[in-house]
Parts: sequence; structure tokens; C-alpha cells
Amino acid sequence: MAVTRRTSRARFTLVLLVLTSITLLTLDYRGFAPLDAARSGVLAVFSPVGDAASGLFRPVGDAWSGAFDHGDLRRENEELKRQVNDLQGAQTQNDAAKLELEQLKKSLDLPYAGESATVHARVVSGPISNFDATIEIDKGSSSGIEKGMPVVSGAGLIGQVQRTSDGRAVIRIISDRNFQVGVNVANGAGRGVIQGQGDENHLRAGQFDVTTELETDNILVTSGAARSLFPPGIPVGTVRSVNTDETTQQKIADVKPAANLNDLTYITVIIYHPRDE
Amino acid sequence: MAGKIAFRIALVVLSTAVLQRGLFSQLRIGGVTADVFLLLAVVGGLVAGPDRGAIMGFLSGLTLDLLLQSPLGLTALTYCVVGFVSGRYQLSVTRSSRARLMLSTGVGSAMGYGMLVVVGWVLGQHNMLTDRLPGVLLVVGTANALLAPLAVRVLRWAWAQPAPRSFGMSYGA
Repeated sequence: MAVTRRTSRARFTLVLLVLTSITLLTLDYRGFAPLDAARSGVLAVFSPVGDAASGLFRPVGDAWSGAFDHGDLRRENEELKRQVNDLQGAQTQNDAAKLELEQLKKSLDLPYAGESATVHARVVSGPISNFDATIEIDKGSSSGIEKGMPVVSGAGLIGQVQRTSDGRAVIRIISDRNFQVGVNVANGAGRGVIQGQGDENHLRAGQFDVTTELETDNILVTSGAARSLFPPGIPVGTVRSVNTDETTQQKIADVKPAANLNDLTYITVIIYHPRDE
Repeated sequence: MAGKIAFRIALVVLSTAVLQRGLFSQLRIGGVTADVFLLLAVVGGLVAGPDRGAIMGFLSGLTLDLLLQSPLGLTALTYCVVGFVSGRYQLSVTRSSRARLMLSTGVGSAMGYGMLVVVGWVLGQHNMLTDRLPGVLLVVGTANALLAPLAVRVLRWAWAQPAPRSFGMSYGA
């Protein structure tokens, strides 16, 4: 008898909790504002404690990385040395190209990201769980950061502000499969959409018309169409390979992200508000 | 007594949140980390039975939902079912050992994570289903299995469960 009562109580508890979860899910999908406020509150309260814990356990994390990622670190070091050599050689060429680009921008009067105000921030926390594609930064709404603003590094687009509290913001990075951004080829050809694939090294570009001249090594940049949350011209990635979907008559590309999403320490938030036209 | 237990449970869940963010998110193997929130749900069911397991899973899942960008309630829904199923499984166990506890926790964690991916997929969270899922399940299952004996002690303390007279009768009751 006691076992039966215990079992039915357990079932009642489960049903109650499942219904509560479904209610929360429904409210969240409907954009119930108090839930957003609750999350921002948790972010504001929990962040300092989390930072302290991260600092406390950093030596453990470093030792762990040293033990398990030694081979990766050596490969990364060799790759970085090679990149430094390449960059030194290209620097002079880049200076000239930069001057030319600035003159071109002036003549076209584009609302390019470089003309918007920016906020530089430090990444204080990476993804917490295995399905999490977010990072946390040490600047928030008190610095003018708002939900939806684009986030970049020197190399290109990193993501978009997802949530803010007074002194913190959570960024959804472009590898998230729910992340999409409109792009075109850097020379202005075609228009498509880049989507994350849940992998920091691969993005997928699609919806390019079959007639678009999309080739390997093309650089894709944000298109900045009207009401887009991203200004035009931010590098998103480089095309690795291109295929044509015969059914939909669209070109699809595998894209390498322009920014190194595996190693983010400092980022920049562009204080950008979408154009109406 | 109920107030004391509630305080201890809150303390355990908050400590878990701090450890997940501060410690375990830094200890990655192949980019995969342990999920100690799921550990609470699985071991909560094994230690304290289906109803308390469901409560433990709900609280730990809800805390994780609040910290992440996942839909609020997704992890809470999944982990409360995981806690309940773990508790039901524990009721059917007549003899147990540390090895069996670890095996149960490892398998339960992998299955729980798999369930999270399925529920997430149904709710439009397609980012959860990736090529690396088998690796994720393996690492999460193994890490949680290794942490299970410690989690049993913590949760037995939190739920004020008496320690078994001899090791082997059950995980916690």
C-alpha cells in the first residue's frame, strides 16, 4: 500500500513539473517579458560569482589544457609563426589597399561599421554546456550595448548580442545553427544567407542564385540590407567549396569563418541601429 | 526539517552552477565538458527515488536554462523526466555496488543527453544535433560516471538520507 502511494505521489510530482516546464516553454516562445528580465537578473547576480570561480579554477583549467591539448598548442604555435611571416610580407600591401578602400567608402558614402561607435570588451566566459554557442563579455547595457547589436573581432563577424544586464552581455556566436545573416560576395556579386552549423570551423552559405559567380576563396561580407541588424561590409568568411543544388537552382557553399571562433579574448560590439531604408 | 532540506538543495544547485561555469567548462576533452546538472538529476533519482529525482532534475535543469540561451523550460522538462526514470530504475535494483552506480550514472547521463537532443530538435533547437554527438555522449557519460560517488554523498547529505548500513543494499535509501 505504501509503495503504491509513493508511486502515485511520484507520478503526480512528475506531471506537475512537466506541466510547469511546458508552461515556461510556452511563455518563453511567446516572448513573455518577465522571463527575459529574470534571465538578465540571473546574469547580473551570477556573473561576479562565476568570474570569481573561473579565476580560482583557472590554474586547474590551464594545467588541464596543457596536459590534453599539448599537440594542438604546438600545431597552433607553428601555424601562428607561419601567419606572422605572411602578415609581415603583406602589411605594406595592406596599407596601400586600406587607403584605397577609405577613398572608395567616402565616394560611396556607405554606413560602414568603422564609422559607428564601438565598445571594446573582454570575454569572461565561454560556452557553459556542450550545446551552448554563447560567450559572456564584461560590458553591458551601461556601455550602450543593446540586444541584437553585431559583435566583431579584427578579422570579422563573431556574433550578435543576445542578452544584456547592466555590466554584462551574452553573445550568440555565428557557429550557432540558429544564427543567420545575409551576405554577398565582397565584390558585390550575388546575395545569400550564411547559417551556423554547430561547428566553429564551418559555416554554410545558401540561397545564392545559380547564376551568381561564387567561387572558392571568395570573401563573403554582410550585405546590410534595409532593416538588417548588421551593417554592410563586415567579413563573415571565406568560401571553401561551392555546390549547386539542381532542385532549388541555388548555389551552396562551405565557408570558413573569418574570425577565429575557438580563441576569443577581446571583441568589439558595434553600436549599430538598423537603417529603415 | 523541510526548510533545512530546501536550503541544502538550493546550496547544492547553486554550487553546481558555480562549478559548471567556473571549473568544468574549462576542463574539456575534445571540446566536450561534463554536465554536472545532469549528474544531479541522474544521481538524485538513484539516491532519493523518483519524486525527489524529478524535483532535483527540474531544479538543476531550470538553473541551466536560466544561465543559457536555450528555451526556458527545455532542460528542466528533460532533466525532471531523467530524474524520475533514474528513481524508477533504482526501485527495481535489488543489489548494487559502486561499479554499478557508476555504470548506471554513465548510461543514464548519456541517455538523458540523448533525450535532451531529441526534445530540443522537436522544439526547433537544431544546433543540438551535430556530427560530434556520439563523442559528446561518451565524454558526458564517462565524466558523470566518475563523479557519481561524490555526487551520491552530496545528495544524500542534501536530502538528509541516512547512509546505508553496508555498502551494496541500495544507492541511498
